[in-house]
Parts: sequence; C-alpha cells; structure tokens
Amino acid sequence: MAIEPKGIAKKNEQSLSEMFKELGSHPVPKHARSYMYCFGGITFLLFLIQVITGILLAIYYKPTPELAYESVMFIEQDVWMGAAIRSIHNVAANLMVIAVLMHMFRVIYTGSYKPPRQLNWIIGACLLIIVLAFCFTGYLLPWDQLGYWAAVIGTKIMGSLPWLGEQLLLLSQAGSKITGYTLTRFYALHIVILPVVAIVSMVIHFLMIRKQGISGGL
Amino acid sequence: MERDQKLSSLESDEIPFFPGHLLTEVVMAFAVLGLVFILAGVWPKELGPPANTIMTPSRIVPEWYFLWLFGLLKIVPELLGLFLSGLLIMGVLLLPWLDRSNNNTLKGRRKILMLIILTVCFMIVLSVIGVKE
Repeated sequence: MAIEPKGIAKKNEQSLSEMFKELGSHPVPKHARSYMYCFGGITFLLFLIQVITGILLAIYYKPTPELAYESVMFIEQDVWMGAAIRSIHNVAANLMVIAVLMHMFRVIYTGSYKPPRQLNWIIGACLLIIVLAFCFTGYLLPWDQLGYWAAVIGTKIMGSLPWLGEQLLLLSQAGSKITGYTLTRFYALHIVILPVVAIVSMVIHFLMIRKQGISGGL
Repeated sequence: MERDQKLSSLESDEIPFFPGHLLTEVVMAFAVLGLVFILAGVWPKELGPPANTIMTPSRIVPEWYFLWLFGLLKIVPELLGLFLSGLLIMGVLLLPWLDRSNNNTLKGRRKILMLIILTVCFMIVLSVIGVKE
C-alpha cells in the first residue's frame, strides 16, 4: 500500500489496513444471522441509550431528600426535552430487562450455555442481576412516594435474609432507615459503581464470545 | 487481493462481518431506536406524589420484573420465599452443570428444558398473584 505512511513495523505488528481487513472479514456463521440472535446486541444498544440519557439526567438531578423530587420536577417541566429524556430512560430500562431475558432464552434454546461457554453464561447471568440492581437503585432516585416505599420494602426483604440480613440492611440503607445517606448510596451505585461493574463484565462477555466464536446452531 | 483470499477461505455457511452483517446490525439498531422513541411517547414517565416518610401508600405494586418475588412472598413464609428465590438464582448460575445431557438438540435436552419452562410458567403465575389485591 503506497498511501500508507512508512512506519516502524515490527514482527507481529499489524498495519491499520490489515487490522480493519481482519475485523471486516471476520466470519459470521449464517445461522447466527437469524433474528433470534439479535437480543444481545439490542441489550448493548439499550445500555448505550441509558448511558447517554442517564448523563443528561444527572446534569440536573440533585441527590438529596430535600432537592431530589424538586429537581426531577424541574427536569419534567423546565428542562428542554427533559420529560422526553426521562421517559426514554424509563422505557429503555424496561426494554433492557426484556432484551436480557430474550437473549437468555435464546441462549437456553440453542444450548449455547454448554461448555466451553459455561463461564460466559455465568457472566451473562451476573449481568442480568446487575440490570435488576440498576432498576432497583434507580427507582428510589426521584424520592417520590412509590420509589421511597419500594426501597423500604426492597431493603427490608434483603434484611430478612438469615445470617447476613442485618448487615445487608444496614449496608444498603446506610443506617437503620431510608435517609439522605441511603439516597446518595443508591445514587453512587446507580451512576458509578454499577456502570463500572457492568462495563467490565460486558467487555469480558464480548471478548470471550469473540475468542470462542458464536455457538453452533441447533 | 489479500481480502479476496480471506473471503474465499470463508466456509460456505459463513459470511464476512463487513458489509453484510454490519448492515443488518445497523438496521436493527435503528429499528430499536425507533421503538424506544415511540414507546417513550406512548408511555411518558409520570412523577407521582413526593415521598411521605410517615404514611405508607395504600397499595404498593413493584415493577413487573419483581412481581414474581412479591407474589411468592405473599403466599409463602418470608424465609421459605427467600430460600426459593436463592435456589432460583443458584439454579440459573449453575445451569451449564445442571444440564447433564451431552448432545445439543432440543430432544436431547428435554428434561432441563421442561424444568425451565415450568419455572417460567410458575413465575408468571406468581406475578399474577403479585398484581392481585
């Protein structure tokens, strides 16, 4: 290739064009072009929507009991496109749970959880739990009546676990009841901790599929 | 040249990622994006009354994906409910080891598939119980 600037290519180094060629000609088995196989990708797309709308909401949201409800009200009524962004965040969250479940049922249907992909199944199942944790922590953030009491009941259920329950209750509520500390704790989980854990898990999930290949069809 | 060689080395039941498959992905992405926008218009997220930390609302129904747990805890003692949902989570995580069949056809995996279908049906029933007063 004449147009490429001369580099100091070492052994085992790929030029850019070689890299793109390899990516572009990576084989996709024909059975995997069925619509049944689209839900994993859709989940990832929905995750990207959640990241973008979530960042936009975080710009105006205030995570304190005094200001949370007011700031959500402000987003709804005064921020340009605020109500739309919040609705999209909510719809995409629900669709994400559906997409993860559909993806899971497809993997069960085609038996793709079997060795050698058993580790990727476990990471996938953990990602489902992470998605549900996103939903649970996000629900409290508006500090409305529904969200508040859902958090009360949810943490109480965790608290009734044997052995660990009491510690879990204190840890999740940041004390013995739902307060501003619970709100900031849920907020940190929702916008920092869970996203980091989710992204790392997704990268492993994708790399393993890339390395091990899409499973054979039925 | 190199690309042609690579393409010809593809098996007959494979296609290259670019451009055919990528195009399919992009089409799907736009379809999903359209669906999200339409649904967000149809079901705008409303903001209920602010939290009242003293007064419990008269009726609390969780989001649909937690309804099965809500229904379960309605009909069995709390500890048993927690045990059963713990069992479900363990079962999901350990599915590759629970399925002892060594072929991948639907017939060969009949037992585990029946178990999964039964579990899902049971969770749907529990969700209905969860919604009811």
